[in-house]
Amino acid sequence: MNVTAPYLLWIILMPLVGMAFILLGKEDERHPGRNSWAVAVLTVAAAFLLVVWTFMQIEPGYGRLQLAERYVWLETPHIEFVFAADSFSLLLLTGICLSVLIGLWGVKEKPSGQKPRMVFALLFLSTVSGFLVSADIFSFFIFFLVMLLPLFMLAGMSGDIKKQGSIFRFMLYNLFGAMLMFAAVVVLCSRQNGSILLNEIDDINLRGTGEVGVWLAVFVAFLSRIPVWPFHYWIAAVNSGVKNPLVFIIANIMPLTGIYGFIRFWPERMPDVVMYFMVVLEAVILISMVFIALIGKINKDIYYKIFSFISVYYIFYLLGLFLPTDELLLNLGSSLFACLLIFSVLAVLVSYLEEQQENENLPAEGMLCGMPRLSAILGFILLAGAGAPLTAMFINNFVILSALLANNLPTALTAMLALLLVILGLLQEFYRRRNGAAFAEEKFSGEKIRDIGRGDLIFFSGVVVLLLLSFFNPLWFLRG
Amino acid sequence: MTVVSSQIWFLLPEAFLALTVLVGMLAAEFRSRATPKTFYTIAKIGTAAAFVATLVFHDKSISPLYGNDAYTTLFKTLTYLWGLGCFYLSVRWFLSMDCPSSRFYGLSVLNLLLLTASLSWNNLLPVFLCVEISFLLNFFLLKIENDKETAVKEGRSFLFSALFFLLTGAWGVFEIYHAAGSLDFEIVKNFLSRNSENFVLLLACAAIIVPLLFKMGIAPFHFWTAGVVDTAVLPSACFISQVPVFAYYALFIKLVLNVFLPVYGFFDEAVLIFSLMSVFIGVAGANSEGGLRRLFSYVALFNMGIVLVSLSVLTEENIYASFVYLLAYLLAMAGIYTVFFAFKSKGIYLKGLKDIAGAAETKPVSAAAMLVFLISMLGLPPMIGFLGLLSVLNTMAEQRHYWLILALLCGKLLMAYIYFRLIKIIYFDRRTTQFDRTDKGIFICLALNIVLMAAVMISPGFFLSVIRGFLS
Repeated sequence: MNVTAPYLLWIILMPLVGMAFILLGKEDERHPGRNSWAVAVLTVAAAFLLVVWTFMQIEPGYGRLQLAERYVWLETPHIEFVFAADSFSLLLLTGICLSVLIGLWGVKEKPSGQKPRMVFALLFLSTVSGFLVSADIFSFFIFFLVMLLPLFMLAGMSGDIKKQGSIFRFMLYNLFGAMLMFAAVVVLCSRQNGSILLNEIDDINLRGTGEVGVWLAVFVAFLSRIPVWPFHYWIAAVNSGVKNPLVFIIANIMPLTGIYGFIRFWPERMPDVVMYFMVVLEAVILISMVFIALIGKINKDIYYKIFSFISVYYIFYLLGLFLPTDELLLNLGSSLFACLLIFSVLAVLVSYLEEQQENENLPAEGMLCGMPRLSAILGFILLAGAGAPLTAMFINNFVILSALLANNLPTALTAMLALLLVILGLLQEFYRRRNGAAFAEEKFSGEKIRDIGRGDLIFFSGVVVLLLLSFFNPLWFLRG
Repeated sequence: MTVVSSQIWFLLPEAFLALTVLVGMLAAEFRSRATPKTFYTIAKIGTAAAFVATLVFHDKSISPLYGNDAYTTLFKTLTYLWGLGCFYLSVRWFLSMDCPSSRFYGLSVLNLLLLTASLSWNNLLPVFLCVEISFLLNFFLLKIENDKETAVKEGRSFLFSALFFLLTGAWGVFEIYHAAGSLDFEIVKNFLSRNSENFVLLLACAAIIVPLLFKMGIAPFHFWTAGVVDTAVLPSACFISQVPVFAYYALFIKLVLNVFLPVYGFFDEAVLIFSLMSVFIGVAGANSEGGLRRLFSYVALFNMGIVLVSLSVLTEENIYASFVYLLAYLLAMAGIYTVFFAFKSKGIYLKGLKDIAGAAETKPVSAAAMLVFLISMLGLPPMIGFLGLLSVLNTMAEQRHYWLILALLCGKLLMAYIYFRLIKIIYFDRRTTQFDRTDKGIFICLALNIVLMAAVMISPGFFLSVIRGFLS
């Protein structure tokens, strides 16, 4: 591993610098929240460019962690923060930066509570970045735990969740997982008298009940981030309950950390005990997938439909992850990248639609007819989300599904059914908004409805272009 | 004679504090225009002088019975520092409430004198006297500017329980003297190692250890803490809940290591049970409280429980880990009490949870500081509380006490609910109170506390090596 400039540390620190600027900066009294928003956008854009730049410094591929950086924190026990990245982690990071940027675009005209929202959004980005580039179990755990705090604050302050109790249950459930992981990390570190690199976990000799306990703790910790049955409601209540697009996006990025945890933390040579968990896990996630998809199909809340869309996809990727091959990981990464962008644009546009509907007291049916720009973008996004050959999702999902079919036919069929249900649910909802009775009766005129502005159109068109490019080659900016 | 007179200088810290009490009394008696600031200035100068003198004579002893070393210096300086911080904040309360401060500063400095002196003695009798008198002084601290019926009732029950444990301790000291013929640490320790099976002696040892646990507010002897802290005025509550903790903690370790070590094997399981009880009673109590100070008295019980869990096995590593945890917890507690001084409405210091609803709206700095301290207490990174928790858990993992790790993390998880509830009240709820302007001095204290915590967390190596040096 060649030591170069500390790109990865900069990626983590960049949002914190932006956060400090926002905290220390003064708001324009005539336009409250605008300065904070502008600083946040600039910071996330800079972080995104830095991630892309870092991407160009590494050799493409999964598993070979590059650009390693080490920072000793404690001598006894020897704990050092080790950061390193591969194409997979940077691809996810790129997707998350863009998602947050899209989320920021969605709240540009929501001045109330903008400053703390921007602060915690940047804190979240910093912690997620740290999590994705962590190469040792200690820093991995630290970022895994810390990212809960900004989410709690964002959900509480800007989430507009009617029942605050759901935030508590969500937090305690996630914290329960994090505490279990804490216990596992402490036990693992005490065996080595210090931190351990993620790719060296196999070398730790755990025997007997200790082994069962540690792997069970890690297993539950990552699972606590993913909305799996029977605890899915605690996550769903928050992830679908938040109406602010930025917070909605951030809340729905959280399950990704659980999936990434499974990818990174899982030892290559799995101990026998883990195999018992695998059987249980597969059963649980299949039940969850169908359950969430069905509720998403039945539920009339559009936010729940988007939540079920992204959740079912996450679980689908998790199934792909558990296939006995590492070759699919870059396919997973590419598909996740496109999926994150699709879901983020969907969240922002839906939030815009809902706000228009609420402010002008309009019926949902046929509303999209008065919004040609939004309708066009939304149409593309929905088709892309449905798996049409428009983005990286098409080919990569095809590959993952093929592998699933080859390995486990019932699982593959269940996954296909769940994907079909969530996509149908979303298409049905938008069909209703495109062809409603109210529009046919011309009960409301086009004047009342405000379509997205030209700036919005350019912004979202940029995202569409990015998605189209991902169809041809999601890693088009890589050398070689 | 010359040797003795030169050794007298080593008592300078105690002399400074005694002089401070005397000057304070004279000022109260003869100075006609004495304001709260007058007594604060006297207490501040006296304590600062004692602090400096303690550092200067950090390894000097006047006799084998009364001596200083790195260990006592560490805890004495911490006690002085916390005392100074408490004095600095308290003067704002006295100025705001327009109350005389002479009694508070006089009693507090006397308390500091007795607590720090108890750390230097190597004989059970003076240690017992110093600790008991200093604890009884809390009764007078409780009565400051407080003649409500609840305060009288609370004071009475506090006094009775304090006297009960005083008598228990007195019996223990007498019994040990009766059996060993001396109360010198060395002699008693040797005697106990030869008679470790003697039931009456074991009972006598327990009669000395249990009152110490009572003073530390460990369950099931914690019943006095919530009432006292809630009833006392804010400066007294701030002092009682934090400053003596260092001395009691240091004394507990010193007594066990230097006196009761031969019989500690009979008590360690009881200590573990008491500490786990503290953890879970702390959680249950904090969950049911609607008052800020009462809630944090249970938080204190919870955290002292964790400190004591670590001390149930007295190895160097355990002492070190428990001390790091204690320091992290008390730094956060000091910060929280500083925020209490900032939460004021129409001249009244707020005590109820509902009173501080939506405080983040008009008090963003105090609310943000509170958030930082709560996260630290929860033990979440990147705050210093995480370092404390990590130290304790790492020691337990090395000793393969996995079930204790799970128990403590379970306790932390339950406690998290209470901290989140507080954050919700401060940040998410609608504001119901009009908050008064906050004194700049409070912001300075908050900033100092947070900077210190951040400095330690960025580079904990230096901080931990210093602590290890003092404790080893």
